[in-house]
Amino acid sequence: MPQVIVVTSGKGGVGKTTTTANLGTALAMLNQHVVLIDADIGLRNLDVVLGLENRIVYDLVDVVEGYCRLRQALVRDKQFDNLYLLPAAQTKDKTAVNPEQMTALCQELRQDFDYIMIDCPAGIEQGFKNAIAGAEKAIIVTTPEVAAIRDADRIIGLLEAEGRGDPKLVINRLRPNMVRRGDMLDIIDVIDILAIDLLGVVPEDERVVALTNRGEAAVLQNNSRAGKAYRNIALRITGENVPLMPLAEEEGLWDRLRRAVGLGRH
Amino acid sequence: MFSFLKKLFHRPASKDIAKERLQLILARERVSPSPSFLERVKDDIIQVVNHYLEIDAAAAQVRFVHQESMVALMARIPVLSVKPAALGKKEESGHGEESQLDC
Repeated sequence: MPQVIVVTSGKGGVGKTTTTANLGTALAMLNQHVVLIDADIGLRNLDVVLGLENRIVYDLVDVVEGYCRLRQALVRDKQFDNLYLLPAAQTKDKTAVNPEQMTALCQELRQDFDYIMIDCPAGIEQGFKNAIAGAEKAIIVTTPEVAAIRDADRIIGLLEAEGRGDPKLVINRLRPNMVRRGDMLDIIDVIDILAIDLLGVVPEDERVVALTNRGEAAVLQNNSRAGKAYRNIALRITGENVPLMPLAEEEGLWDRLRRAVGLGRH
Repeated sequence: MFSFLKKLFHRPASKDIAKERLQLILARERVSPSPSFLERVKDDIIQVVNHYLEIDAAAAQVRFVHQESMVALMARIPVLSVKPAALGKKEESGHGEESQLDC
């Protein structure tokens, strides 16, 4: 049974696109047929994160306007022939597409794919409405920061109002060292505040930036902690029960000193 | 000196402050739903009040008012006259109803 999942957050810069790219790649690694839709018309990014920017011929708006067939606009991944991207248009704006067209598009893609993941633009305007229109499930990405959590809460409310309740939460860029010092909200805090089910926690990982520079997904790297976290999330999406991975990283000298003199917070 | 050190080392964890602030912000924002929601509430209130009073429905306003630690629903409905069949006095109606909220 195909699933259409929108990846959304409200706030920009929390890692929606990185999450979409990595979960899509991880699902493809699990032999699922996956298509990733970049719904951020006018500000497309998923293509560069996936390293597919040079292969784009047609885009989502071309499909909707009937300039090409859906098949022609799908860009195949460099590595996986069961992973495709439907790129956003770069020269149009969000009003070039409406929710009905997005719903029809998702419906058509259901015939060929197991997972249709939609990378939602930031904000709560037309682009958001387009992105959620065809989706029956939602993943909320947030970082453990006040602004991101506030916006995530708003999005959860809007999804509920649209009858798309029960979204799942991904806490991105968690820094275990800061959590240990009491300077970052921990997993329990974030779940307490947002009151939705947790799908996974992705630790901050500098390698993600370096990998994205090359247009490579973190999930392909065995030594990337973020990659491992994303692979776990992909398994959970397919219905497997995977426990949260331990997030503790090497303690810094300062933390050890503080703890040694009894100043650390627990 | 000691109190200074105490202050320095016993400041509440910043994450606890973040959590408290977020809970306050969200408690407010969760009861600030869409304008269409308030329109529906307004229409229903007008319908009920209409049984008893001649009102200026077009000028009616319904909104949430944030006070210190609670959120109130305020309806401002200009009254034109009391309907003959209804009992009660003619007055400007200020209708307040508390919604559930503890912060």
